[in-house]
Amino acid sequence: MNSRKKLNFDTVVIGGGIAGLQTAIDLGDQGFKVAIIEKDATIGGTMIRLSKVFPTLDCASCITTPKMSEAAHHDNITLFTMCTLNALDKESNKVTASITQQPRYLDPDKCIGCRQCEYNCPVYVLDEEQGDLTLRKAAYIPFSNAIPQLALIDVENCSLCGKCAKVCPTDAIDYFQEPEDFIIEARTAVVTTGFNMTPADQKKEYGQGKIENVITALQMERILAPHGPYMRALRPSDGKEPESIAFIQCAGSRDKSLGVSYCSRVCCMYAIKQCMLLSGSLPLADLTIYYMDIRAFGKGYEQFYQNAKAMGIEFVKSKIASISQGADQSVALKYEAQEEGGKLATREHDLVVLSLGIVPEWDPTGICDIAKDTDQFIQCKMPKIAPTITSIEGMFTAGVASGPKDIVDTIAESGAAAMEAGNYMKHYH
Amino acid sequence: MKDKNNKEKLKSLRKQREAFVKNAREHIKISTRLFKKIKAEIKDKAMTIPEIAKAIEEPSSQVLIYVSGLKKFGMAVEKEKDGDYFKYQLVAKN
Repeated sequence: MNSRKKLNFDTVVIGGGIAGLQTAIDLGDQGFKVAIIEKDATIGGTMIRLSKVFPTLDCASCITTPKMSEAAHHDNITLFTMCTLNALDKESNKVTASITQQPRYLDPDKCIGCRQCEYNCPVYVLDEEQGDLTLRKAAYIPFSNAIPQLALIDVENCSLCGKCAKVCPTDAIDYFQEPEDFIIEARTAVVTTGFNMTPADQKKEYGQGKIENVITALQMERILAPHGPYMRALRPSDGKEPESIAFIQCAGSRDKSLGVSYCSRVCCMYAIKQCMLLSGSLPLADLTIYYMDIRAFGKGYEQFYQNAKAMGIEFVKSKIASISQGADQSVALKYEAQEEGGKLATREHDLVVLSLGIVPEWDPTGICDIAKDTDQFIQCKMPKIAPTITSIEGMFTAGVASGPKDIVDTIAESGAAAMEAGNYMKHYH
Repeated sequence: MKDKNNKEKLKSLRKQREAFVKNAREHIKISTRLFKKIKAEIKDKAMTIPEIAKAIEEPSSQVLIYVSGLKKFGMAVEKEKDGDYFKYQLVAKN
């Protein structure tokens, strides 16, 4: 007998990043009941982990947090965090999502987010939310504006010492919690599963992640964030305030050898944005961007690029041949200077940031029959005129799930996905 | 601790999650040792990361992670700059 809990909604949104939140809010505002399924302990996706956004340099958190809060408090939206999607099927007019609720090891109805468990936990591990540049506890809330404000216990690093249970004022801790399966039935689904970055240790020429002071762009986002690991820009090997910082573009995209032949679309602009932020916090630092070509396609992007040049950020058209450890913990770059007749040159920097490629976060294989494109992102049936329509009727997509795009396009597309899903429910149900 | 997490039940759970518990205890051991060494150095005077690393003979990258952890949990503060490096000191109550 199947005794799994069954819940009914109008739309199930897979992924609680900015695309999923915007889609859910737009549908919720039209009166549709929406479920957001999120794998992490908090909604907000990658955007809530960014420092600022280009080209306006608005605070990313200031844009994302109100959306997170709006979704969390919306009468028509229900959040399901720490959930694994096992299957997503479409049969006749019904979408069925089979989900596993992963345990937080506490009762979410009792937890008041007071962090007493975190303060008293004796286990310190690397904090992945801060790019592994500082520590967190085994019992923790991911970050200060996480939604929901509920703690979780990282069971793989929990010593079961019992301290958190002793200090919890609401008796919320439950070390014995088990995963729980449930089913959501809906009329439509929207896939907003976002992206991941190519691994930093992929390329032999780039030191395979073993060279000190070579970091990823997402680590730099955390360094630049107001609540970052150091609360200022320092190099990770020894806390030195870097005098010279380099950005390597196309470090994981436009590279057939890595299987990522496409352009990741946002790297040029976020590298320029990070340089601008660094020039504010470290006015005397030399900032260099090693690039193949600058792709400034969006509204105001070209001006943003020109402003960066006017501010003294150096752009070196080049192809990086190798990265190695330099003297005094610096990073040595060997490159082909394309505007100097292709001559080989070497330069050392205190800190090097890799603009890695964007790849899909979610692989539907074995979970959902939705078609993938040759780049492995979700295939859009009509990419020019209706980019949110997928190979399955009643199943839509938005944001980076269907291919790299910036926040502006992601939010616009999310509105379109909500409109398509709303129309579908109106006409076919 | 309330009944649901009682001692007997926890004991059997510890056995069930033996590998995780061992891993966590290893983390506690390493962090306690490092924190103790770092705290001893910066208790009475502010020091830079390379100075602490040299004094306790640990890699400076590791020292930075632990000092930033001390800062995050309110146990250390950033002080004045010395050349290219900031100094850190333990807050009085620690």
